Amino acid sequence: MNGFLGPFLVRELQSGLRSGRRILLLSAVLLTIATLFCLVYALVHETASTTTGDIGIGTAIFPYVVGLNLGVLCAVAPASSARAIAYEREQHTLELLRVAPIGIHQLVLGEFIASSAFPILLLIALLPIDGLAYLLGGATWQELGIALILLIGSLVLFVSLGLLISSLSAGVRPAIAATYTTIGLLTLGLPVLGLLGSPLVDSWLRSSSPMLVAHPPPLLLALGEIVVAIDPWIAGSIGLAQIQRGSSLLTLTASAGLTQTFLPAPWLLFGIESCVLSALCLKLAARVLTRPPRKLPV
Amino acid sequence: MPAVSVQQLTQRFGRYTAVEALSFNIAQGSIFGLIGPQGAGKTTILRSIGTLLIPSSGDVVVLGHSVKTEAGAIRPLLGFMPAQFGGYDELLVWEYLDFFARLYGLSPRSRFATIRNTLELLELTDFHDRYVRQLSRAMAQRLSLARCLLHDPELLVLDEPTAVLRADARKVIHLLLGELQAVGKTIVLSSAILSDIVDVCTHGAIIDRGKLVLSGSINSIVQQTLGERRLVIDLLGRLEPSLMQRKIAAFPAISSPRIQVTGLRTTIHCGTRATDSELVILLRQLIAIGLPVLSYREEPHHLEALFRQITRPEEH
Repeated sequence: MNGFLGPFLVRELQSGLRSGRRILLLSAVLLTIATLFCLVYALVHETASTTTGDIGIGTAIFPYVVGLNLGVLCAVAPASSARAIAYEREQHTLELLRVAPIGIHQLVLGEFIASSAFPILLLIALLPIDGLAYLLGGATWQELGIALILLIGSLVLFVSLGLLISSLSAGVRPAIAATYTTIGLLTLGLPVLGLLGSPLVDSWLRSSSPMLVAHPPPLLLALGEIVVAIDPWIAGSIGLAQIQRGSSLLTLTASAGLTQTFLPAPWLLFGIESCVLSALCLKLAARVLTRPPRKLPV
Repeated sequence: MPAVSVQQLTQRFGRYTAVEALSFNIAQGSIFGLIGPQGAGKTTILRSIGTLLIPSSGDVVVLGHSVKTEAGAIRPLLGFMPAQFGGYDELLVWEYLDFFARLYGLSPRSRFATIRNTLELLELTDFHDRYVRQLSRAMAQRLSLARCLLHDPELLVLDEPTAVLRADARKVIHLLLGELQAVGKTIVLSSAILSDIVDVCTHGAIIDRGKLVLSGSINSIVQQTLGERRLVIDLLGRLEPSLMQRKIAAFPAISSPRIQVTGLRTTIHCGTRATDSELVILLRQLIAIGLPVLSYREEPHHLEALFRQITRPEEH
């Protein structure tokens, strides 16, 4: 185990994962997911037998399973990471870590690993349920790969975002509230904004510059996709639709009039964006911690 | 080479200057006390030594390394104990120490032995499997000191280590600091209680409003702090105060005399910088000019009151 990551992970295992609250939460999540899985299975089984017939039940269930896993991450990862640095500050242990012979980046990375431990444990605990979707038939390796990238990307992104907010907050509660709000806006706000805003933008563009609608510049399309792909739900939905359509997995074709623009697949873009944004969040968190205080520390 | 050299240290927080152009040295193997009222800048100085604050100007050189450029080299040599106990409530006492021992890179074999020995030294062995949250303030303070000692640092920086403790618990910490000094550790600590510093420190500095008032060995600080000796001389009979004032004015060694007539006695309260032998001569001279000296005594010094005089507390 890496010299500086080990202590943080061991501490997390000793304190966080030993607590009854976490075990209770783990059990509740597993029970909920298993129940939802059964419900989805029943629903899909009934629909599949009447309509889709030949498609494997696993294929039909798989998107729901990935969605449930993403939901679990959205629910658990922010609380876990938003608490990290703010709790150290509340408990007056941040100073002790800062005078220890580990760099500030190692400190942030240690907190990142510790904060990821419980969400990872949850995902591992959910593996048997995820596996059922595969065993029931139909889900391909490509689907599994995309799902894995979406889940890992979301985990890394949510945890780092939580850590950044945690480093900026004075207390645990404000940090948790702010992190849930930010991740909520990111995952739910974006689709809502898209649904509500796109007809308005579309009609405005059609009336003001119809040429732009007929022949949108590739840069504008790429920019739109970059914004949209930050949402794992959207990126995942498009990725799974691509698989079901049998189109290219790595690219997305945007057609406007006679022109066709090839863009990277949203799930791929999400993987890259989550890595870049996470690195940025961790870097900023480290910067916040080394920032000289503007007020006399009490 | 001094263990710590504070060189023209200035620390600003926005517009507020907490410490201004402060310079002093801390000798290796000494117990150095920073004395000053609340808000004097003691914690800021300790945080600067502890590499938690980068000086706004000036520098602090700790064991030959500058806090500005070589903080990473200083940290393994340093044990820092903040004023407020920092603990993880959900960890057991040994787990808490184990976490920090791992952070300081102690090998698994030496880690468990070190934790056991440190708990023994701090008389915390019985608390090995208690949760940190279950410790009393005195025990938490000891645990904090145990954490500082785990990696056998050369320099201990302790911010008000006995502030929340009762007298008996303070004594235990003082004894322990003496033992640590005996094995060659340099200790820097702060306190708002002068007697604490006098009891345990070999050297010190008085800080007030971010500025150095006095520094040196504790004996010299006490001497300078004490300043004048206060004398109370009882004379037999009701004597005329103005006449007495005139007679005493002839003795330059006596300062600020105050005459008080009570019943059949007249009492002179005065100050003097005379040494013991000079004081004997002074008393003989007072008798020689015909003063009916009945008794003489020296008022006990109240260290804290004198300290407060020197440091002039903030006006509210």
